[in-house]
Amino acid sequence: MSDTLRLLLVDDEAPARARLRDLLGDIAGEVPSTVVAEAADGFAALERAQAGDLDVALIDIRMPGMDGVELARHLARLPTSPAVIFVTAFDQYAVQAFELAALDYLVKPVRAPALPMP
Amino acid sequence: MSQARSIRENPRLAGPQDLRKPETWVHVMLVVNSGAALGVLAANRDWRFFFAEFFELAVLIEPVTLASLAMLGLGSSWLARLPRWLGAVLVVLLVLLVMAAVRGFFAATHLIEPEAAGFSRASLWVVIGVALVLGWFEMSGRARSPALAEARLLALTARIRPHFLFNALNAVLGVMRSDPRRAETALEELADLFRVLMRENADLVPLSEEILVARQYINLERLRLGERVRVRWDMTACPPDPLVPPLMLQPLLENAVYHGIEPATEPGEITIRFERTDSRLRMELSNPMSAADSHKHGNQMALNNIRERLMLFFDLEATMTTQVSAGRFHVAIEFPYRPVAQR
Repeated sequence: MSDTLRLLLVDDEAPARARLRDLLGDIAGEVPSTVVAEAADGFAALERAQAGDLDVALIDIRMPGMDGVELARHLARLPTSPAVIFVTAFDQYAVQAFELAALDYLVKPVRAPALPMP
Repeated sequence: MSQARSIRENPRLAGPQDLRKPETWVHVMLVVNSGAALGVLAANRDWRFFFAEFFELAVLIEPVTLASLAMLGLGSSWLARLPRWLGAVLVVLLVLLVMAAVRGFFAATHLIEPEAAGFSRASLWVVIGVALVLGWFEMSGRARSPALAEARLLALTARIRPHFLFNALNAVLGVMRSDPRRAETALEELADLFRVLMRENADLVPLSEEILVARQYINLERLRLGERVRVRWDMTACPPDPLVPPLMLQPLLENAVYHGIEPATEPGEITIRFERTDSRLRMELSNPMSAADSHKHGNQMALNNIRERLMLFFDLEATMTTQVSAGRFHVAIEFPYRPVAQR
């Protein structure tokens, strides 16, 4: 892992991804990171993750098609899988998220203090 | 056909029973006669004598009821100004007087010979009968009061999904830095929507206002869902500016987005069509149905809410039907056509 975290943002709603980008920018001083790629659905995210150049995937749980939990399962089977952090509006998914060995989860709307990264 | 433009003018909701109206007479005759029939049935020893016994009683109660109704109808505006209890006592006294007079008339003309001892028993029946009718008036009057209908409407209108507000706020947060102008517009649209939600909403509104609200709502959802939401308006068969019930279109659109667009990966199209056929206005809305739609239950709630509000405006003159065909969900609402110009 290099000093700068390489991130993948996955959310079907563009403003939600923009919000994450803004907040990551806010904490760039303490946690240097760069958004390598963004995806609007699980399939695109999975394809992008095959390259193996990601440290962390920030994933929205509720998405049409493949939801975030399913995506995390697929990511875990990759040869070099990124750490997963779920972003969700609903606490109810938290337990399921940790069963999947997710690193952490963030509750929407995400605020900067919630973001400290590994 | 009623021409009500506000739920306050809904004929079914107009005040307590008016004794000058023929339908009130029919109601009272039905209640009194049913009561008499039940009384006869209870006292009846042999089924074969039922009709004879009932007829014997009816000869007495029909003239009493009709004469009482006629007199009460004449004095109803004066009676209505009295306190409830005094009015009720006066009504009982009046009916007793009428009953005595009718019995006296029968006795004098020897048409029927009422038993002399039966007077106190008949009086008791009069008191019970009048109490029943007045009690029933009171209850139905309360159930139909316009104030209650308005309260009901307010409660129904207030049920907007918190889901929507939450999503809209998150979307605004998302574009706040990258596109402050867009964020500002979105907040204005949100404020406008809530202004409409907060107003009284008891009157029919011009369709143009409803369309404006719907467009603002769709703009807000576009912020979040982008090109995934598409709306096609077909207004070719719609008259220039009909009056429509407030806040019907937006909840239907919200429903369509929630069930048809959000759960789908592909962009979806919502179609809206307005059409006038003679004296009626028809609105059709359809959205794609997603197999992955996980909130079936909420759909019924939103639709029932709209159905109930339609009833408050139009009674049975409005209809709402839903159907599923070719992978799309269709809802059609029909109600009497009223142009704005008539106002």
